[in-house]
Amino acid sequence: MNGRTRIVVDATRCQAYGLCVAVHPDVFDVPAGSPIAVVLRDVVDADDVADVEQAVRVCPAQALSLQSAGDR
Amino acid sequence: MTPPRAAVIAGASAAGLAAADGLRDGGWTGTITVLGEERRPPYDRTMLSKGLLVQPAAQPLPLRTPEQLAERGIDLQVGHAARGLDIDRRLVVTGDGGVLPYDALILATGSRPRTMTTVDGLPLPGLGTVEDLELLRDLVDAARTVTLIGTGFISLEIAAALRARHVQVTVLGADTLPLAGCLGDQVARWLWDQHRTHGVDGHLGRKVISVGGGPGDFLVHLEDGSVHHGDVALAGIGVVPCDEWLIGSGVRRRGGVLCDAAGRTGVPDVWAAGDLARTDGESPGQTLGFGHWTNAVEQGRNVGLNVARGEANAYHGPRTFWTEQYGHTIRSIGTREPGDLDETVEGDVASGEFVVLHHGRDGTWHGVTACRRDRALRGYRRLLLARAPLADAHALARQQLSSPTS
Ligand SMILES: Cc1cc2nc3c(=O)[nH]c(=O)nc-3n(C[C@H](O)[C@H](O)[C@H](O)COP(=O)(O)OP(=O)(O)OC[C@H]3O[C@@H](n4cnc5c(N)ncnc54)[C@H](O)[C@@H]3O)c2cc1C
Ligand code: SF4
Repeated sequence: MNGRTRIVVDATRCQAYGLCVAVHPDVFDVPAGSPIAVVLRDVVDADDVADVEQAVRVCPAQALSLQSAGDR
Repeated sequence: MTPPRAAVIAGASAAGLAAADGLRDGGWTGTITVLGEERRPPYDRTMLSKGLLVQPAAQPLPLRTPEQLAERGIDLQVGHAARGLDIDRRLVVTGDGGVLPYDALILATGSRPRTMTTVDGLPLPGLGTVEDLELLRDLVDAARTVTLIGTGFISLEIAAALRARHVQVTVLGADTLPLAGCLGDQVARWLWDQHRTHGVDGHLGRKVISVGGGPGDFLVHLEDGSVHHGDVALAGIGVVPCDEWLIGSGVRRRGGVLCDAAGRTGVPDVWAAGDLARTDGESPGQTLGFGHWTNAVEQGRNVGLNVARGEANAYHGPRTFWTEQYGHTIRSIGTREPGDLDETVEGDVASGEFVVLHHGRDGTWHGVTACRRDRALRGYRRLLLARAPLADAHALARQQLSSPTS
């Protein structure tokens, strides 16, 4: 693994709870009026990974997933 | 050839599924069986009292797809409850009379709403499952007035959702100011003001003595002698652990299953996580329960990892929860201890945009509550995780105010 990860938000699942924003606001945002979270940096570095993984786990809608940036 | 090791998880929700993932992430190569009493696949419970109650028919989101479960080799058995436990023979007795042997057992059967009955023995509906939601929707459709007994988070979320449906709502409870204990007076007052502004009628600070009447005409009697009518009466008076199936098993229980911060119950290879678990606090004899989603997920995962790796790492992540009422999402990280001071360090509570620190009079910092400041929260979370002193939180607030991130 090259340590770089891409984050995908499933628009059909995201409920804009914003839990991900509270965990890592440099990566996630729910802009006012937006129905879903947006990813501010869709490729994250190794030192962001722990927080991003926590966001993935705690998202109640299970809307976030990680893919290795080399995957596609 | 030795058979693969068997992990059994009782309870298929936030904690149970996170434990299953933790097992696999920790390298567990044996089987994983997850028993769930509810008949439907696990779903996002937190939505029940929010958007879902406002909408007429929407269903909560499932937590895992069948593909995700299959990929990770997780055998989810819904509609299949654990009914007993034999710790000597290492067997879980299930609802259909079968037995499941385990090498490791994770208890994650969570909690359910505390029940309340009328003087005639009629149970009042509460909100804990999708079935409850469906019943509630039907009741509310036919009602003009709803009386809500209890002033916890779920109750207040229900009140807000019912106001969005233009149902007349009366909230009754013994607390004079709902949620003041965990949010602090200022935030709690602002939140209760939102309820008042949206037309919720409240009779607070008076205990409910009894509930009489029945569907279409419930009569709730308070200790001050007043009587409150509602077409529907709902109970939102907290939760109780789903631990009755463990009675006599040898697993120690007190308001839930007792375990250490690693999740060990004291019975070999039996662990606990989520709403069911009461973990050792930091001072001797103190046990803590924390009935919130993120805690259930992180604790469940930690237990899964411990079991798979043969370790006993404590989970001490900061406690976090959120609540959503009238479009305001309030988040707390850490705790608010009795008697704490509440100090607004960013924004202004009255404006609905704020960061409030909870700390003791001696300056020990316990937690933070914020609204519309999600982007500011990460810094405080990191400080709480590092057990930083209050001065660091003050410094962070000054820094965030001088260079706002949102
Ligand atoms: C209406 C509502 C709104 C909420 N909103 C929020 C919120 O906004 N934020 C927040 O942080 N938290 C919220 N919570 C709390 C949060 O949902 C819980 O903390 C979380 O679900 C706990 O997860 P758990 O897996 O420990 O237990 P639970 O979710 O309670 O799941 C336990 C599961 O085990 C099953 N079970 C019980 N007994 C048995 C048995 N004998 N055998 C097999 N299975 C069994 C149950 O059917 C259930 O499916 C809310 C809760 C409710 C009810
Ligand atoms: S936590 Fe999940 S549901 Fe919430 S905004 Fe983030 S991705 Fe969307």
